[in-house]
Formats: sequence, C-alpha cells, structure tokens
Amino acid sequence: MKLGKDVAALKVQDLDGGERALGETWRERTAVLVFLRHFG
Amino acid sequence: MFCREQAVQLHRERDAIRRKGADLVFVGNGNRRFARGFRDEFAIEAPIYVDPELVAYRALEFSRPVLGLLNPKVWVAGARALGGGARQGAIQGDAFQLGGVLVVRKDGTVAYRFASATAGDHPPVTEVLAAL
Repeated sequence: MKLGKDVAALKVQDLDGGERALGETWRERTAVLVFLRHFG
Repeated sequence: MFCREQAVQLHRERDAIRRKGADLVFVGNGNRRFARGFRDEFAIEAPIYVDPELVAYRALEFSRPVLGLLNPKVWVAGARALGGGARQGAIQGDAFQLGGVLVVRKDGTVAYRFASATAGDHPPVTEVLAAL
C-alpha cells in the first residue's frame, strides 16, 4: 500500500502553529507515525 | 491513560528507531496547548503535531466509535495500563477518536499499519520495530 499525494498533502500543525504537510514527515527518512487517541 | 502508555513505550525506543533509519513522530488530536503539556510532562523529544480537525485521522481510516468506551476490552486494557504505571489525565482531545501506528517509507509505501480497534489497543513495540 502506498499513500497518495492527497494524504501526503494533508496539513497538520506543529506546536508553534505552523502548518506542515504530513508527507514531510517521511520525505527524508522512514517515519514511525504514532496517532494518539488524545493527549490525556 | 492509554495514549500515555503507548507514547512512553514507543518513546523509550526512539534511539532504536533512529538506528534503524527512521524517525518517531507523534500526531495528536488535541490542540497545541495540550500537546505542549504532553510533551513537557513526558519529556517527549520526538516531533509532535496536532490534527484537531481529525483530517488525517479520517483519511487514514482510524475509527471513531462513539460507544467504544463501553467495550469490555477497554476495561481490560485499562487494568493493564494502570498495572504498568500509567495514570488517567484529563482528556485533552477527542476521547472517541482512536489512533494507530504507521510506518511509512520515503516513497510513501506503508510498511506497517495498525489501527486501534478499541481504546488501549496498541501494537506491540517489537512489531513496530520489526517493520523497520
């Protein structure tokens, strides 16, 4: 399975409020992406 | 409680993950203030992003069962997490939204995917590391 460009383009926010494309997280190295249930 | 358990377990392995040529990244569904508190409380050194609109969660088909907390498996997982030292903090995000773990290679190939079926349903860390 390969993630499409549409998924890679989805925006998430960094902790300073900047937007980042999700795909940037795996652009240079393999990413272990942990989607948390919530922060509590 | 469950997210803390999972985050701490995987964060402990961040050096092993790096040695295997990968980076650990967290995405949460609360807001940035919650994420900062989470980072500071657990001394998380990995990048943390937030997706309060759940856009990525939906695109990646992580489920959001509204009655999921009534599942008996959740209570079993709760006992396990408490036994391991995790404690429930104030819920900071969408309590119904479940998460998961993806290992994504540079070309976008998903080498591993785990979608939680219930709260507290996390993949074994060894399984995640084996996918690297």
